[in-house]
Amino acid sequence: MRRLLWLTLGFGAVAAGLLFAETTGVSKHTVWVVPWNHQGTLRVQSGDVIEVWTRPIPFIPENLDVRFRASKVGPGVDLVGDTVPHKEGSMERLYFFRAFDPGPAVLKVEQVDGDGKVRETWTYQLEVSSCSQDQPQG
Amino acid sequence: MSRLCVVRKRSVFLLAGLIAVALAATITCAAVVMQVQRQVLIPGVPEKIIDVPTARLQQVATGKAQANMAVLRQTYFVRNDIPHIRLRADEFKLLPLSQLEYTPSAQELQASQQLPVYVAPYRSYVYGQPYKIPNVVDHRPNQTSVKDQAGRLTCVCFASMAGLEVAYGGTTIDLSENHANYLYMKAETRGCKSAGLQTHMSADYLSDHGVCREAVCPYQTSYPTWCNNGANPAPTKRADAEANCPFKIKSYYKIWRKDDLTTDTGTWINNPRYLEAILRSGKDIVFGTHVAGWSGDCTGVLDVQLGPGGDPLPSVAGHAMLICGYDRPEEYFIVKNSWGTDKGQDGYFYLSYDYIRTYAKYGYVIEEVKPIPLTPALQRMKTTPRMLPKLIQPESE
Repeated sequence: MRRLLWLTLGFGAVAAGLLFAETTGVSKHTVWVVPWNHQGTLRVQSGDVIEVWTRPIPFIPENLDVRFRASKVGPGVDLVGDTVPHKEGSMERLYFFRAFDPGPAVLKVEQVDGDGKVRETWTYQLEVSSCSQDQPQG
Repeated sequence: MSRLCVVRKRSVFLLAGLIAVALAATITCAAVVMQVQRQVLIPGVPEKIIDVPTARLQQVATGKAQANMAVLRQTYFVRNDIPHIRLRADEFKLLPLSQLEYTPSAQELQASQQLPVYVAPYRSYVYGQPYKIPNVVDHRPNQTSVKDQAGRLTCVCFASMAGLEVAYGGTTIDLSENHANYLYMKAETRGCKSAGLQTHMSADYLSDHGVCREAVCPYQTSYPTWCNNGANPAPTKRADAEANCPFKIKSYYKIWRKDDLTTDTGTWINNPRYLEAILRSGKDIVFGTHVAGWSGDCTGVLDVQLGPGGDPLPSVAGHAMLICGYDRPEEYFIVKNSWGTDKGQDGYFYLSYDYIRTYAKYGYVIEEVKPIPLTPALQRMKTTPRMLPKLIQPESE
């Protein structure tokens, strides 16, 4: 009987948490993982996080000076952080953007030499919609 | 007379009562003392875990080699600036005071020399003898030749094969990085091309599957061959590879990083003292590290570079190598890389102790490898009795 009571309480708490998340919109914010070779427009909602992975290049002597850098065009998006994945063998970087206001935006990632010369550029088109709209994602 | 009997009876009852009370008091006191001792020494009885300051290990030791085994299985840690060791309660018992100090036999001393590495620095606590670690350990003569991974993302393959080659103990055993890459990528379900992986995972994969010799599946800088692209090999090649893939890890242990380590303590990859102890025991360490501040040919000691804000430079990549020696006075580790012999010191890099403390991520040590099965020819030699040639009788004169 006591076990049943604890089980009921546990399930009740989980259900209440889910309901709270649903009503406050916590669960609606999505993290979009974007591979380096993604093409096409990303349709995201304001509040979403866009995680862009750079192209994996081998960590070898010829690439010691190679760096990545990221930027954005568009007022509704911000670059909020970057890190390296826990993986050995490749030079990769993850850039985190956050969408704030509706509108179009462009994310740009560049591979740069030691002397600042841009070796390669990747761009990702973004379309940010307001949080209330439910749009199919592209 | 009857009155005298009554008095005697009363005395006997009184005496018996006193004895009973004294006994009860004694038992209670003993129980209390035992309970106190139990509480002090065995705080975690339900979990059967006991934390003991290392300085008391002599008191804790059961006196014989079993004590070592109990000590060896444990990790140590620092609490209130006092080194502790964590023991399982069922693995030791307290010694009577009279037996706290003893002189180990020659046999015990010999056994102590074979202790697992993670307890090696604490031998002095077990036997009261100072444990001395040499200033320099260099396993470079035990290694196979330095390889070159060329333009592929295969440093983990090279580091793990270097570790396996040296674990087999032969400087001429050349194992296939190509085949290792095939196994790793297959296990990681990454498709055909090498894309890097977490170094410590290679220990798991190499204990599940054996690799073949370099001659069976040679390294290539491009991807189209069956042995590195994950495609199904032709039946003949598959059979050939399976028959020639006996090189496998039997046992290993992983070493993790502890980010908030403030002193060189504990069995962590960012504790240089622990790595020294492993190397001193004759083992090498396959490890993964962040990379920051490398430039040029990396001929000097690679140290931590600070950024404009005074913090260590952020990581730009991950790399896997094999730690195969150290120099304590100069405070650097000798590391076998896979960039050919043109970089570093003939292919070996020197990473400072601070670099390891700051950037090392994880690693593993191969404890034992699977024995290599005999080739059919050797098997025949072993099982078939050889006929000795007949003696030629000297001709009689």
